[in-house]
Formats: sequence, structure tokens, C-alpha cells
Amino acid sequence: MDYYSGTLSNGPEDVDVVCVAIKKVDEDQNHMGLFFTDEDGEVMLLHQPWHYRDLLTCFDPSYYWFDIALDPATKIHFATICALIASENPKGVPYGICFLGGNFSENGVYSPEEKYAGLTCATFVAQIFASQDLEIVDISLWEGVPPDEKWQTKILNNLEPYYTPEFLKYQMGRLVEGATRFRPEEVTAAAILKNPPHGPNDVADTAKQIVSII
Amino acid sequence: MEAVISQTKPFVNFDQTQTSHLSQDSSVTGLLTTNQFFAVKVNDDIRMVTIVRSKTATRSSRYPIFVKKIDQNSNVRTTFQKYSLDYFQLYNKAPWVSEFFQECSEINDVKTLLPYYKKINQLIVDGDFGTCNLFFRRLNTKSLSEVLLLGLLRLTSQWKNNIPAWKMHLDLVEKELKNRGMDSRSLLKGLF
Repeated sequence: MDYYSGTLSNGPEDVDVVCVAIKKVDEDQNHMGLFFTDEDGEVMLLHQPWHYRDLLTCFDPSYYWFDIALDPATKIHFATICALIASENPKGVPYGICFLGGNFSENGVYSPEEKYAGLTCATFVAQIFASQDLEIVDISLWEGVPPDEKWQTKILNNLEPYYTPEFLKYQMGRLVEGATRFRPEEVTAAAILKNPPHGPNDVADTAKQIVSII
Repeated sequence: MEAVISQTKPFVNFDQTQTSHLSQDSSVTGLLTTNQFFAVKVNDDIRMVTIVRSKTATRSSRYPIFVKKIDQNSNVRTTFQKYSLDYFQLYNKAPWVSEFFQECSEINDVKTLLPYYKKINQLIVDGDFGTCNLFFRRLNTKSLSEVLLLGLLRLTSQWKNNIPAWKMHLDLVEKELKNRGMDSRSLLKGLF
């Protein structure tokens, strides 16, 4: 598994058009996104930072990044989709704890099937792949994974000041129903492993490796 | 000045169009077939001159085309081209296709792709699937860059049921990828 980081003296010139980026935020929290080369030749980070926040930030060398399992031509298409998503969603997209219902159309517009659905940093990346018929996670294989209620409750408490009452009610409902958590390291692993889409067992070892690296 | 087009094929593909420079008040004669038309291209603006309707056209018909007062500016770059009616309809709705078809073999990075992805997006946002369909019908897979071969399908696959030519284009792309010695099934994964 090849990986790069600013701490390993790599720079944006080592990003191959588009790749998956991840960093440790604290002991129990990682954050991920996509580094991609934009129309001006600059490497940018497309990610879901929080509820309706700017999706695009400059290259950040504190991330580790990994090549994704796409052919060169599809990588260029995918990088263009990243630029399109940033352009089509200038106000950001909602944050939410559940994968289902929050999705992008092929042309980069966030168009949720559920009105109050939102995305985490990890499901944001997974949904971008899915929007291009390049699924990296097989949802059906994740259904049996127990929800991470402790993490989800903490996140919803933090989001409460930013949510409308309707949004909070919907998200709390998903928490009660039991929503699968897709961890950043798992989705990172799913993006770099060949022959997607992957289930939790497929990515488990690679995800552990990623955590040990970052 | 008179330009004579000698064209024996019943249909002229876009990449087979012939051009010649015209001066003001020129007359042109050419061979036209059903649903083709002559046009003048003044700089990048295509202006239709005439259409040959199916009732009057035959493969051997020769029609005089008169191009008058193209522009008062004698320095304007004026060329003469032959297009199909389909293309003209497409051009009227989406003038950017003129440049796209000229450049499509070299559109292979984010900078050159993004403007066209936005244009195609706009057609979809506007619900103009008819124009999208005309666009897909006009695509010549042999002249598309590798990125466009894959990207145009992925960009629009959610609306493939609204774009009748999409599936035919997918089949043509699969053949073209094979012709280029590439693993078409792997590259088109998820689109079938």
C-alpha cells in the first residue's frame, strides 16, 4: 500500500490527479476527503467538514493520501466531478449520521432522497463514487454492522445548534432506528482496494493499517 | 468566387465536412442530400443557408446556394461547411458543440473537461433531454478522447432512460475501447 504525507516530505506534486486523503483529528476521530487537481492545476481538498460548510479547501500536508483504484482516464473524469461538486454546491451540504438518503446526482448536485438526510466526511466520499456508478462500498454487506451510538449521539449533540428542529428530529429518528457508521479509515480502504464494492470484512485489515499509519 | 463540392456519399459526417473560404456575395453550388444543409460559418457563428428537404433531394441533386452579404467586415473569417439538419438543430440549442466536436480528441484534463461538463449539466438541469439525445447521436466515438469515452457516459447515466441514444452510445464506446486494445468491461463497470 503506497501512501504519502507532507510529514514524509511529499507535496501536492505527488498527488496523481485524484486520491483519497485522511488524517487523525483526535484519538477517536479521523477525517477524510479527496485531494484532486482542479482546473487551474492546483491540488485542492474536497471534503465534508461540517453542516453546510465550504467543501473546498487548499491542499493540506497534514493529511496522508493514498492512490485510488481507478484507471487513469476515469481518474481524470473523477477529478472533474470533484471540481463540479465544489462548484455546484457552493454552500456545502448537510451533515448527517446516516448513509442512506443523502446522495449526489451524477452531475454533482447534492440531491437527497430524504429531505433531512446528510453526510459524514466518509459517506460524502462514498456517495461521490456512487454518483458515478463507481460504488466502493456494498451497502447490503454493512447492514449487519452494529451502529456506533456513542459516536453518533456525540455528533448530533454537537450539531444541535446548527440544525433546524425538523432536521434534528429526523436525524434523532435515524439514531433510534440504528444507522450504520462508515468510518473514514474504512471508506479510505474501500477506495484504495481493487475490485470494489467492498464489505466491512474486505476492508477491515487495510483500515487497521491505515489507522496505524496516520 | 464559386466553390463546388463534389460529394458522392449519401451522408456527410461532421468530420468529413469541406470548407472553403468565401467572399461577400459569393455563390456556391454543391451536392446535397436529404436533410443536409449548407451553412456559412462567420467566425464561430454558424448561419444556415439552405436545407434540402426529402421531397426534393436525390443523391445526385445539385443545388445552387447563394450566400449574400455575410458580413460587412471584409476581414471576417468566413468558411463554408456542410452539416446535417440534426447538427443544426443541436447547434441552435447548444452552440458550444461546435467547439466541442472540433476539440473532442484533445479534451483530456480537468481544465478542458469542466466547462463541457457544466454545459451538459445545464441541459439536464433544464430537462432538455431532446438536445442531450441529439448530442449523443452526434458523438463519434473514434474521435473522442479516452476520458470523454468514459466520462460522458458516467456523467449522464442516471438519465439514460431519458436519452434514447445513450445505450447505443454505450455499445459504440465498448467497441471503440476494444478497438483501442483496452479492457472495456472493466472500464465501463457499473454502466451496463
